[in-house]
Amino acid sequence: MNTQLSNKIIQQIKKQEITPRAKIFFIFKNMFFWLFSIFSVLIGAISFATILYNLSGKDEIFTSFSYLPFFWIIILSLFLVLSIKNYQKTDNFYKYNTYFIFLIIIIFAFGFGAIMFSLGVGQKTETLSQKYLPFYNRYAKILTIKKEIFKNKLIKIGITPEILAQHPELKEKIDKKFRENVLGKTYLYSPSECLEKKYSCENKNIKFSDELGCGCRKLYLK
Amino acid sequence: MNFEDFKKKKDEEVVSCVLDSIDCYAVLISRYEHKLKKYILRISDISPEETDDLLQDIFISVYQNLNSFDQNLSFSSWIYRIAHNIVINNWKKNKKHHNNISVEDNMFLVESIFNENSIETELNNNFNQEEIKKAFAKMDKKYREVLILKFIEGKDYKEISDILQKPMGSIATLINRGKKNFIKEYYEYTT
Repeated sequence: MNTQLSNKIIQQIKKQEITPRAKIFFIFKNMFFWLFSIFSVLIGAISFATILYNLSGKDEIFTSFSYLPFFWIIILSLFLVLSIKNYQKTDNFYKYNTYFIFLIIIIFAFGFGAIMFSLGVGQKTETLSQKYLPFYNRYAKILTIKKEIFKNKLIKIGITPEILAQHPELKEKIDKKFRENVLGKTYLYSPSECLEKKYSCENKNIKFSDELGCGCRKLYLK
Repeated sequence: MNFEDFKKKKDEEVVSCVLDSIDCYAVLISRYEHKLKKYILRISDISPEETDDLLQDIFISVYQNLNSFDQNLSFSSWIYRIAHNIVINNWKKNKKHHNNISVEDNMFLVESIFNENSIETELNNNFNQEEIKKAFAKMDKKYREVLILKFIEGKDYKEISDILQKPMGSIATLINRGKKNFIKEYYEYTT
């Protein structure tokens, strides 16, 4: 029964004192990858909840991509990928199609994320991130300032029905400008607001121009 | 230890014995030594010396990982999986791309593929070794390895799935595409 090769291998095993790895090592290894995979889904869910929080009630996201919470979108994508990568290291991962598993992971992350959002986890995460993550705080501040400028000058002060009634030719231009608007770089003001804002806008490094005529002005952020 | 006692024992039972005594390992080695050697040669086209070295690595790795053997798998699938992974790692390490399979297996493999596809048997007599080799060399590795496992090693879909760690559905697709791919390549060389 013993062959030359078997003798050689057994001799080598004895000589080098090779022993089988303990069963517990494999159990822990498998468990580690499962837990890390689940943990990654949970982080993904928290990211999704925070994304929902950042997007909720903010109409401006429909006018500009830059309002999307990219930080959380990157975190979400990263942890979804990490989740599938860890799952692929577990035993028997190959029995199911990877795309199918990835779909399940996404459904779980989004489902849990939606639940977490409804429980206020998104808001809490956003607040804690701003408080404890210095780089995130700077990023959030810039985003908030942009949002405030956008809200106050375009959404709130912008064109009113009265102005449109006075200047019907603006309708088309406004629609066009709204379509072209990216990150609030274009602002439309009523004639009186233009006069009022001119000085303060210049002080805030906002360039003032007079392209649209009829007393309607356009401002650019530098 | 009486090795005759082990003759009728299943691999899985021998594994339990190996965990108690290394000497039992000789039984498993002798059962798989030739099968694995042939399998390595079929999928890698390396020299016999290199094959022996690889075999040694495989059996040592199997011994080290014996406790990770899943009783839901057949031992055969599990040892083939380790062998397959070590051969693949060896390719990557040496950055060699072996595209041939051993010549004596070619005819059997080709006949199996052609018969499965109900292609006229009179064609079988006209198979050309060189053209078969060229057709195989041109085939994608992922198709070649499933065809070898299916038609030469005689493994079923479940076993191939366990060895290559791919879902059974993917294995069925790979085999079908592999057969079509091989026939297409073969006819391209013969016509």
